[in-house]
Amino acid sequence: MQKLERIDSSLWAVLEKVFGVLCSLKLAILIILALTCGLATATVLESLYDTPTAQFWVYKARWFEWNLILLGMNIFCVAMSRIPWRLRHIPFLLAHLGILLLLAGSWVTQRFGLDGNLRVSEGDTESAVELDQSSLIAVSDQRVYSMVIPWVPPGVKFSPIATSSRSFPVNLTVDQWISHADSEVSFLPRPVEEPAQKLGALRVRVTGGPMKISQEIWLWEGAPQWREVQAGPARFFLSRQKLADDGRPGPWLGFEIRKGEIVYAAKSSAGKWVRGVLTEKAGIAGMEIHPGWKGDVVLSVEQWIPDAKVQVDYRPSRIQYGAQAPSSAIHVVGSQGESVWLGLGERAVLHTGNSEVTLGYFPKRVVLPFSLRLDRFQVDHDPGTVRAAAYSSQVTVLGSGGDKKATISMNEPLEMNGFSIYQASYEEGDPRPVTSIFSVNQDPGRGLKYFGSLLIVLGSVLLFASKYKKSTATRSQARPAQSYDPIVEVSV
Amino acid sequence: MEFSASRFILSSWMMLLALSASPVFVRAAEAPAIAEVAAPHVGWSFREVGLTPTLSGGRLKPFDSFARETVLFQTGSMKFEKWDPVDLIFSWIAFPTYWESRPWIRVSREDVRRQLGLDEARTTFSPDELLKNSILAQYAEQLDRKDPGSLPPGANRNSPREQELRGVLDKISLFQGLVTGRSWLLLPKVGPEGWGHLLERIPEGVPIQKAFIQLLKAYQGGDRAEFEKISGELRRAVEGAIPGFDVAQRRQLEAETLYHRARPFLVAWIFYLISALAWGLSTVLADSKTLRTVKWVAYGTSAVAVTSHLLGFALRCYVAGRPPVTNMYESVVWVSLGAVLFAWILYGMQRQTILLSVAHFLGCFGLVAGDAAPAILDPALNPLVPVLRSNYWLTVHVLTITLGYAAFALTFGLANVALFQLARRTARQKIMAVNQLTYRAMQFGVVFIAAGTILGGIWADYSWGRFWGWDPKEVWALITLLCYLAILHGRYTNWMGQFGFALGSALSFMSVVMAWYGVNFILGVGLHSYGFSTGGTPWVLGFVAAELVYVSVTALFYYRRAKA
Repeated sequence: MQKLERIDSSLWAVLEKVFGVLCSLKLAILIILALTCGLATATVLESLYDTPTAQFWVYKARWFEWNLILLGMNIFCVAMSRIPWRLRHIPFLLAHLGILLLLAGSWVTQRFGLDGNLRVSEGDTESAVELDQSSLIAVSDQRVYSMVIPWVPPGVKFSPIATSSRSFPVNLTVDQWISHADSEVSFLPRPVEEPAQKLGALRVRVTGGPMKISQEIWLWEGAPQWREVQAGPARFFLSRQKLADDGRPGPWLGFEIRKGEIVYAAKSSAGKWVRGVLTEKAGIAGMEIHPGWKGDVVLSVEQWIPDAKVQVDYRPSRIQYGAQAPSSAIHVVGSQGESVWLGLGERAVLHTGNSEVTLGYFPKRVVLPFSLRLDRFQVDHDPGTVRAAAYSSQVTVLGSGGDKKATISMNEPLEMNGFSIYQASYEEGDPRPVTSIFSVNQDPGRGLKYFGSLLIVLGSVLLFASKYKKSTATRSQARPAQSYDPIVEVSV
Repeated sequence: MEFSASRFILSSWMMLLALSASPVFVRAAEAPAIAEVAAPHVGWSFREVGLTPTLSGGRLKPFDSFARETVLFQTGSMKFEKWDPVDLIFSWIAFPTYWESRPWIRVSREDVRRQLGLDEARTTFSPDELLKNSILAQYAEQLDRKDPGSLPPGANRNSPREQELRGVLDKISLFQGLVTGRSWLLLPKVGPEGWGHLLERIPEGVPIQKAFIQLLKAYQGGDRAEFEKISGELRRAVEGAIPGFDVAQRRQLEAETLYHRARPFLVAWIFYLISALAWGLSTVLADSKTLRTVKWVAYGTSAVAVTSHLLGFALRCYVAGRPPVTNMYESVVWVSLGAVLFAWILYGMQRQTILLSVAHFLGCFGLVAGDAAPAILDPALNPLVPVLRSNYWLTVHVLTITLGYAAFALTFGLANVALFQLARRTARQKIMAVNQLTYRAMQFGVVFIAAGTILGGIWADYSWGRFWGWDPKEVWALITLLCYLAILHGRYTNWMGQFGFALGSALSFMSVVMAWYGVNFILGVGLHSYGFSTGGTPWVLGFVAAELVYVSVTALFYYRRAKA
């Protein structure tokens, strides 16, 4: 019995100590200083790099979240430590309760709220809101699975994510991530185990010309956009038919692929005609062609793949920050090591084992219970300038309750089924912009935040007013300023 | 000013180059002794011409304002030599050959001068020099061809250097426009494309064009009486051609001209300076007859300064049709007014003259800073960007936040006084009194900045759909609040002592500087982009550095004496 009591009392002592730390002003000031430093750093990061980077390191970081939680606990404990509450505590309690409510409201918004963009062009109808997250989507047996891919800034190690625990139809691993990726197309010889398709590919280097360029181009029989390629003023193409002057103006160069040899024909802008044969015996790679174009253009065949397949790779873009930086890409690996790169907005089929799965990498989307049709988008300008003075969208809301016409403009949102739709921006167009971008929000934490804000302002006004009343009352007594008993300080 | 917005001017630059050899009105009439004629017309009245309505920068304004903005844009200062702005503009169109060969267009960046192969030692150049500059011509052509999206790799369209280059081009084309008459937008037209210029052929424009040619002839001939008579006719002709032009609009134009001519903020800062000195003197003087005189001077000059400041502010509100708190210049004017008003409120509560001395110094400092750099703190009245229009919350949240800045400015001033006293080991009683005032001012600041930040959240919720989005401007307002809250809580526990409190209060103002200036001028990211600008960074950094030095020196003295 006695032992139990001792444990009990020591536990109590520990709890009391923890409580003492949690409700200390020292902790409050430490938290405030940590927040201040973190926030200042974040704004600098945002200025130097971009918003997602600042969010990754600060605003959406775990430590920042804990700092806010600690702040909430600190305020709560301080308020508790003042029990029994008196009338004079009211201003203090109001201000601090306000902060708690504001924090709680923000949490509710973040957890249960919706904040996304909806992009519609004139005449189109849209109901899907794009969120600020990207996800890997898999379609198998007519079912759609999705997994959010966390955003990681350039230069930070990406830890691979496996899908197996997330009830995906197949086991997949996202093992590589590039936050800003450029796609790079290359052609490889088709492996012997795959059925041959006889789709030849040629890599040609173009040097010289009036601009003294040096450029490599690929030609491939597998797809129309690779069969004919424009490089500067010149046109290059592959053909299975006999090359002939089709009357089109030069410069152009055609390759006719035959068994064991390639016939080429070139035409200059002046109409000069050159023809020749490259044979495998003499070696095709490295052969030079002089088509007689302006500026002594020299063409050399660098590589010849009789049966090639295309491969899209992604590598980090030269531009890694800011609005000009391209979007992200992920590398997905199947259970047998087969893999594919996916850029944002792309889809691909992955053969894994004996099944195949369609994968996609898209911004996360939420479908609204209604859809929006943009009837007309309008921009007004300040008279005599090209500066936009106001912009607005005339829309029709198509929902279960019938159609409803409305106008959404800057500062005048449309409220619909608990969602607010704001005019956010628009895309420039020629001769006039026809695509409107709305911001769609649902904020269940709004009430808490507003009420908390009200309490903060009210509480701090009362707090300072009561202090003023007290200090003028005690001024005549010339109270020494050294001692600040907390309770005395807030008391009347 | 947004001359760069008028891309059509740029694209016709090359054409104007060819045209410049044959200005429309004038060359024939130019007298031989041109340098004598092209001198300021002292004693002439430009009132009527100045009141003539014109449409520029998206707003109906008196010609006087257009002339002022143009002169500021071209020469980089509010006043060019002894010229009245309207007089100067008339001189350009009347005697173009003289002005084409005189160096007066400012190219302020040295790297731009070097790039253009200009004389690096000079800052002003003649239009001729710039027009003949082949590098500049090449740049103009290149700029003209390029669509805004495609840029050579590594080039930053908005780098200060590019901006300056484009600025030089805009200056030349604007000058060309003024010389040829194409930038004189005096022919009223209804519709979004704006008013017509002097050469345009529209039936309504004929009487205006006739009056203008007469006016110009009178100007060239040096006929003062004729000029003043016809300038009235021109004004009436333009007014008559504006559909629905009424007395209220007329009055607004008059008020704007009055605002520019009377320079209320200049009057205010001069009197602030005198009153600040007088109030300062009154704190050290013993009770005597001199003290009474000084106090009378202090009260008198304060009254003039505050009245002038208030009237100027009210006039600007009336002219702009909105509370003027949308750019840096306007907020500087408002914050200095706020600091003075807070000081008077606190003075009413505590009767400490040091408050008034500090606040009037701040008022003077703010208005001088506002006037000193018109190229950075643009004093022109510009229309608002879409997000700022038609909104009640905008006004409320900006006014509240900036009042917070004002209270913190007062806090800052008082804290510096306390630091000085602490370093000098003034009587403890006096130090505590000043610190008490600092504390009060800080309380005002905390309430206003908290309320303002929250109101900003409400506004953001109302117009963007989110209460809080970690936008840099929001974040820095929060950081400011947190800095002062840390001090308030620190004072409460009594860890800081008198010196620590004064030190913290002074240094926390750096967060206000960052929130107010830094976010818009240094960071330059986020949703408050309509306030973004460049320039003045060395000055602001100099201010911060000076404060740091001051604080260190006082700390040195304080601790050395504390040890002794």
